[in-house]
Amino acid sequence: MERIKIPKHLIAFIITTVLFLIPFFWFKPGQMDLGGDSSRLYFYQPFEYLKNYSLFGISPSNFGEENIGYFSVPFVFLLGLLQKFLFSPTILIAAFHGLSLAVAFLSCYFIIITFFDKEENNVVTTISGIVTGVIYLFSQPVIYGWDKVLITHNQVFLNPFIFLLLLRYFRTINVRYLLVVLITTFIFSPNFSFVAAPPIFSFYPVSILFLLLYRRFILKKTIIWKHIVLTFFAFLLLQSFHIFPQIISMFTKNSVLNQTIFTDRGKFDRGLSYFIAIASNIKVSLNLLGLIQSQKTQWYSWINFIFPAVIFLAFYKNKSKLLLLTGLIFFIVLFFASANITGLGFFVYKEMFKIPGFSMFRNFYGQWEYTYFFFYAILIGQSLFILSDFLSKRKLTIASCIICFLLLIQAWPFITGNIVNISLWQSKNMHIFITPEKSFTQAIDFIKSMPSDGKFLTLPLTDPGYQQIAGIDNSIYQGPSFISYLGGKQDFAGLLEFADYKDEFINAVRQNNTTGILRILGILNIKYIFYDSDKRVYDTYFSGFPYIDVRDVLPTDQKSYAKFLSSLPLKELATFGGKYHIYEIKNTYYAPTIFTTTDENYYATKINTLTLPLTFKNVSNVIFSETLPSEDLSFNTISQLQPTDFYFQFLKNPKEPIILEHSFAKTSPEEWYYPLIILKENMAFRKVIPDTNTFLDKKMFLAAKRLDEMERWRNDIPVQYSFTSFKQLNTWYIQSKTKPVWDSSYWNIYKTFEGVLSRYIENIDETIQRVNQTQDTNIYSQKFLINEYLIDHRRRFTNLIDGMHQGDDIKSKLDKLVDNIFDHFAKSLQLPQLDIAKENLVDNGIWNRTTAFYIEKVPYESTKNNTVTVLSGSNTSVLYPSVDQTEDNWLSISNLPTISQNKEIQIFSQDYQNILDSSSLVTMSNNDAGISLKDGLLWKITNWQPRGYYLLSFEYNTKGKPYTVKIIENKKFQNRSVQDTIVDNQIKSRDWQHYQALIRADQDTNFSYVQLVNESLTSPNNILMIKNYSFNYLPDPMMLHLEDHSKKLVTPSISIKKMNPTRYMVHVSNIQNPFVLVLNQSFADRWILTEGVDNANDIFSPIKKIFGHISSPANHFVANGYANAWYINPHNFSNKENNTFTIEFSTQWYFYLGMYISLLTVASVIAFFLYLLLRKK
Amino acid sequence: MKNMFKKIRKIVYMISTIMEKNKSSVLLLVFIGIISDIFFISKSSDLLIFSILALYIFSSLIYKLKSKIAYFTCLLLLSLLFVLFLLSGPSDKTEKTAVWLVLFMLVGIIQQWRE
Repeated sequence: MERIKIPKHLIAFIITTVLFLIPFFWFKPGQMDLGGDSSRLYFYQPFEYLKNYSLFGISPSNFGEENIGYFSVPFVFLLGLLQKFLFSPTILIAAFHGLSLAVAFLSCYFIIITFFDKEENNVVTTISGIVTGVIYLFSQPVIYGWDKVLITHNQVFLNPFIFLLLLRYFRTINVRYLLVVLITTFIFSPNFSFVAAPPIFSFYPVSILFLLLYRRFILKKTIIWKHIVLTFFAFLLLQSFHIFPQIISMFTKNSVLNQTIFTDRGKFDRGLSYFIAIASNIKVSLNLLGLIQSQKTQWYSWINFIFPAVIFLAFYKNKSKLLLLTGLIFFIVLFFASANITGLGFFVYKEMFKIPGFSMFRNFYGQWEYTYFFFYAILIGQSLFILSDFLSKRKLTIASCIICFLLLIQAWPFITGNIVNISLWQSKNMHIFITPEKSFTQAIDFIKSMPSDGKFLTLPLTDPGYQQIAGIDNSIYQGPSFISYLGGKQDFAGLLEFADYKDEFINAVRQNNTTGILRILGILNIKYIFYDSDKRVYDTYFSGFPYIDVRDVLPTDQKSYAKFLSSLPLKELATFGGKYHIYEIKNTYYAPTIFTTTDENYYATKINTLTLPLTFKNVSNVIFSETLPSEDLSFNTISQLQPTDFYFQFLKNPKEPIILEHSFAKTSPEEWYYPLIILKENMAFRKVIPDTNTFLDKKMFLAAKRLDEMERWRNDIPVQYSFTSFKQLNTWYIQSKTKPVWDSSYWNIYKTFEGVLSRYIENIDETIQRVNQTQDTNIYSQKFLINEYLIDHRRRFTNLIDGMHQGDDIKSKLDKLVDNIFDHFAKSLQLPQLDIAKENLVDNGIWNRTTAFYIEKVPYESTKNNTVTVLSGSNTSVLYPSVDQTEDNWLSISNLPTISQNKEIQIFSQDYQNILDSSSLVTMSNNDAGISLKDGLLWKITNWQPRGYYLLSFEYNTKGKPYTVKIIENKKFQNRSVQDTIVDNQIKSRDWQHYQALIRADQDTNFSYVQLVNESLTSPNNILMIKNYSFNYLPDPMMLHLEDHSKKLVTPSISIKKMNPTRYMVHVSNIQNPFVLVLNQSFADRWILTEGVDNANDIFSPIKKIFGHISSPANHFVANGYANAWYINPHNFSNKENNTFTIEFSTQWYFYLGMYISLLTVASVIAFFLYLLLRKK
Repeated sequence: MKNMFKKIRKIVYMISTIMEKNKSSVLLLVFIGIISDIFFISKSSDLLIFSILALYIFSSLIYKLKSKIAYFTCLLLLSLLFVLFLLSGPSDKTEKTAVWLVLFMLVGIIQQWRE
C-alpha cells in the first residue's frame, strides 16, 4: 500500500492554526483584558489612546508631568486601522494574542529548519522545529507571563521572528530580510524604545553575537559589515521619532531618566541593592530544568529533567560546531539569568552595575527570562536533531510526542485561559477579563464632550492611582484611568497622585475640614468629581489592595462615600446607569488651567510643609511661591522662623528615615584572597578624597561589612586571644601590623576574630576622628548618625557573641572587651547632652515697623506655660501671651519691639513638666498594651500631642546586661489601631551612662508607651538601675513674620484656546501693569512662553524653533508648589495693552522633527524593498 | 629572572611527571573534590571550585582527555541533580550540583571546539 506523503510544513501550519485560535476561546463576546500597570486601553479605543497619550509628551493624568509615550504611535495607529476592519476590540485582542502565539511558534520552527536546511532528513528537522516552538511557548515561566501584559510583552514573538529574519540574512546575504526587520522595528517600536531597554539589551546583543559567530565560524563566510552598519543607522533614523525626545529628556537635569542612568542613587540604591536582595532567590537548577523561579515546585516538576537530559546527551554524541556555539551563548544567557554561578561570577555581575544604565537589570531574572527560554528551546531543538542520528525516526517521533504531551499538560491552564483571566489580588474572586457596561461607555463619552478646563477627582480613590471599573459578571478593570487615557481629562485617581499635597489632603479629610478640602482641590485645578457607586469596586469586594491606605482616611464603604460627598458643595451634572455620577464642584478657591494674577505670597524661607501656605493667607487667585520675580507685583514677604538646628539633628524618627547603609559580606576572612579584598577596599577608598559626609558613609559601610563578616562566620573565624580591654587589643593589632609578611602572626590580623574586630574599630575610630576635626555646621547630625550606627551595632555584637559556639569563659571575656570598646567610642564621640531649658528660634531677616508676627495656634496653645520673647542684647520684649487677634489657624501679634539688629526669639517655659510623673505606670500583669515583652517598666502616656516633639532622658547602669528602651505609639485610624515602635534601642553599661532620645509624634497618634525591659532571661530586671528620668514635651509652633507690600494693580483678563495638551494660545487684554500668567501643569523648564502666534499650517515650524533662537523675556518660575508661572512685564512687550502668547512644551518639537525623519526613512525602506523585489522579477 | 623561569618550568615539569604517573589518583581527587564540595562542605568556596576545575583542565591537557569525559561528568552530575531535586527540591546541594554541571558544560564546549 502506498504511503500518503504529508507536505513538508503541513503539521507545523496545522499547529500554528490551532495556536492562533486558542485565544478566541479565552474571551466571551465583548470581553477584554485591558488592565495592568500600563493598561491595554489601546486595544479598546486605539485612536482615543493615541490622541490623549501617545501623540503628546505630557502625562494625561493628575499634574501633567513630562511623560514620553511617543514610541507607541505606529503600533497603536495600526491597531486603530485593524479595529476598523475587525469591528470589535475583543476580536482584535484575541487575534493579536493568537498572532503572537502563531508567529512565535512558526519563527522557532523555521529557525530550526533554516539551521538544518541542507540536511536530507526532512522529518527530523520538522520534528525538531515543532518541539522547539512548543518548548518556547509552553515553558512554565513563559505561560505565566500572559496576564495583564505590558506593551513590551510583544517580545514573545518579536524575538524569534527577528532572529529568524536575521538568520536568513546571514545565511543568504539577501538585504530584503534586513528591510523587513527594519519595517518590523518601526511598527513595533515600543519594543525598541526606552521602556523596552532591558529586553532589547538582553536579547539583541547576544543574538547578533551568535549570528556573527555563526556566519564566521560555522558557515565560514565573510561578514558584510557595510550592510550591518547601514541597517543600524537606518534603524536609528526609523526610531528617531521617540529617540530624539528621549535623548532630550535623558540629558535634562533631574528628569527621571537622567536620575536612573547617571546618579549613584539610580545605579546603586535602586539597582545594586535590589539586585542583591533578590539574587539569592534565583536558582540555577530551576533555570536548567526550565521551571519558574520563587514558586513552590510541583510533584511533577521532575518531568522537566528530560530537557537537560536531551541537551547533555546531544553534547555527548555531538560532532557539530553549531551545537557548541549555541551552548556557549546559552551559557552566557544562563549566567545573566541566574547570577549565582560561583562567587566570582556574582562579583563580576555586581561590578557591572557600575556601568551607567546597567541598573535596568536589577530584576535580572525577569529581564533575561525570554532570551533564556529562546536559546533553551533552540538548544533542545538542535539537540534533538543531533540525537536523531542515534535514534530511529519512529523512536524520535515518540520521544518528541512525549515531550510535547508533557508540555501540553503543564500548559493546560494557559490553553484554557485560566491563568490569563486571573482573579485580582486581594479581591473577592473578581476576574480581569471585563465587559464594560453600556452606561460606563456613555459616561466616558459624556466626559469627552465636557469643556477642556478643569481636572477630575475619581472616587473611590485608590492608593496607587488605579481606576477600578466593574463589568458584566464578576469582572474588574484595574489600571490607569479611563478618564485620562480615553476621556481626555486629567484626573486624580489615587492618593499617591496628590504628591506633596497628599498629607494636607489627608489632614483636611480627617478633620472634616470642607474649606481645607476645597482649597486643595481648587489649587490643583480639580473642578469635577467622577464617582462610581458600584459596590463591586469597593466595599467587601476589595478588603485590601488597592485601598489599604485610603481606607484609613476616606470613607470605608460606598454608603459612607455618599455621605462624604453630600458634605461637599456639588452640582450633579449627569448620572449613568444609576452608579456613574459626574459632579461639578462649586468652589470659590478654584484656579483654572490658565489664569492671570498680580498678587503673590512670597516665601523668603523654604516652605518645609504645605500646611503653611495652605492655611496662612490662602486666598483664591493669590499664588504662593519661593521665588519673587519682581517687586512690581503686589506681594507679602513671609519668612518662617527657622529653629536652631541643634535639637533637630538628634531626632530619632525624622520624616525622611535614617537609612543605615546596606552592607553585606561575601568573602570569608579565612579565604586566602581576603587580604586582597581589604587591599582593594582601601585602594578604592583612597582613590577619592571625599567630603566628611562621604567619608562617614564609606567608613561606616566598611565597619558594618566587618561586623557582617564576624556575624556570618562567627563560628569559623578563630578567637585566638583573651583580651578584655580595648587597649590590649589595640596594642596587639598595632604590633602585628608592623611585623614582616613572612611572620605568621602578621596574618592573624586578617584571619582571627580579633583581627576583624580591630579593623572594625579602626574604621569607626577614623570616622569619629574625622568628624571631631571637621568644621562643618552639621557636625552634630554627623555625630548623631555615628551614634545611631553604634546603637545598632551594639545590639548586633550582643547577639553575635551570644550565638558563638564558644565556652562561657571566652564569651564573657569577649563581652567585656566589646563593652570596653563601646565605652571608648562613647568617650571619643563626645555626643552633647540636650538641654530642654530653652529652645531658640533665630530670625536673620530684615525686620521693620511694617512687620506682623504670627504663631501657629493649635500646638502652641496646648502648652499654656510658655512665653515667647524677643531678645537682642539686653533688650527683651515679651510677645506672647499678649495676643492682639487671631486669624484662622494663626495668632497675630503686632506689638513688636523696635530693634534694628538681628533678633533671637526664644520660647521659655516656666515649668517643664515630666510627663512620666503624670502617666500611669502599667503593671505587666494588667497591661492593655498588647506588647509582647511582658516585663520591665511600662508607662502609658495619654497626654500625647500629635506632631509634638518629646525628649526622653535618664541615667542608667545595667551592670553589663543588655536592656531595651522602647517608645511605642498607638496610631488610631478610622477602623483600626496600629502600634508602631519608633524607638528600639539597646542600653548596656558597666557604670552610670546617660541616655537621651528626641522623637516626633506622628500625625495619627493618640497615646504612647515608654518601656524599659530586659532583653533575655539572663538579665533580670532587678539589676537595671535608672535615675534622673524625665520625658518632656518641647513646644515647636510654626512662627512667621510678614512684610506687607500690597499694591493696587489691575489683573488683566484672558481668553484661552487649547490646541492640544502641549500647546495653548492665550489672548490677554487690558494689560495695565506687570502680572503673572499661571499654567496649572507640572513645572518643567521645557514649557516655553513666547509672544505671538505662529502659522498653524506651517509643518516646519517646530524644526525652525529647534534650530532657531527662542527666547522669552518672561521670567519662568514655580507657583503653588507645582505649577508653571511666567512674570510678564508689559515694558518687555512694547507696552501692548492687548497681547497674544503661545505656551508650548518644547519636547514636542523634537517628536515632530523625529517623526518627519522616521516617515521619510520608512518610505525609503519600502521603496528600496519594492525596487529589489521588482528587479528580481 | 632567567633562573626563576627555569625554576618554574622545573616545578611544572615535576608536577606533570607526578600527574602522569598517577592518572587514576588525580582523577579520583577531582571526583572526590566535587563530591565533597556538594555533600560535605556547607559553604560555597570559589577557591575549592576553581582549584578542582583547574586540576581537571590541567589533567585533561596532560592526559589528553576528550571533551566526552566532561560531558559524561555532566550526565553523572545531572543524574545526581535529579536525585537531589527529588529529595530536597532546589536546596543548597542541588544548587551546587547545578553549578558544577554548568561549569563542566562550559569546559566540555571549549575542549570540543579545540578538538
